[in-house]
Amino acid sequence: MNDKFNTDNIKIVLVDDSDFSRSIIKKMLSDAGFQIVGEANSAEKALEVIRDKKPNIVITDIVMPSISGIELTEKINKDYDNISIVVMSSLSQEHIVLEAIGAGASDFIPKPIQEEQLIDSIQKIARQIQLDN
Amino acid sequence: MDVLRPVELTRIGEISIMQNARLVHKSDLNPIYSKENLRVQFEITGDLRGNITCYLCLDHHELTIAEKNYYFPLFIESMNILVGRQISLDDELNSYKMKLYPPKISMNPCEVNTNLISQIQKYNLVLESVTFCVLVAYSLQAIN
Repeated sequence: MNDKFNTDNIKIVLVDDSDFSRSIIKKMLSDAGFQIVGEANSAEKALEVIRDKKPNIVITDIVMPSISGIELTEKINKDYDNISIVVMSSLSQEHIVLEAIGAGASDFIPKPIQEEQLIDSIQKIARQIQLDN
Repeated sequence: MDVLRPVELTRIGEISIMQNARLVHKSDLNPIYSKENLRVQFEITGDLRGNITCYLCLDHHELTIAEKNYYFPLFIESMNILVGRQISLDDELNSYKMKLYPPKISMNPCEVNTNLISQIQKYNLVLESVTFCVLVAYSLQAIN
């Protein structure tokens, strides 16, 4: 699909307690032209980064210390009406996927992350953001 | 009071963790004795409860600091993926409500003898230039 759009004005914050996982995902997104404006290794830190960087998209893991990615999704949705959230996890049981979507996630991506699936998901959300603006 | 039964998670033949890194199940029954290892333990609470301890066996490997800085996080992420997949792919456990906690990591090696652990699975963490033996010990119970 040669469906070009401007990725420059799409700001992404990445949340995962694994530095390793963040570095892999960051590379996938950077290679696709997206800019990662902030990273966090916990939900608490993510809320600070989101306040500061005002991203369009947050990508978050579920299993994290203290506050889970699903709780983080709920908090973001409560406080911001213009941030899309993509939840990712190695746990992909149906009820967990439904919980994530119910909390306000736009998409759920199972781990291990497949680059094509991640980029497809972010591109769809980015297009929608650009249409809305 | 909940009635509990022991549970062993599904063996997964192979998982591609990332480009050039695969986790491959080993079905051989040869015992393994490891004295040098990195250990991560996952705690699970809820309808399925207990813990899963994963060992990266380093007995025959001389690693530089740079190699450790790459392989150790890769191992931890691989175990996150393995455990999550095992829980999610098991039809019986699929509907269970549970909480999986982030792993506790121990850099202090401990002795592991597969002959002495009742529920254990063996995997190889296969990278381009090196293969590590990985042991996963299960101590899990599910409500009936």
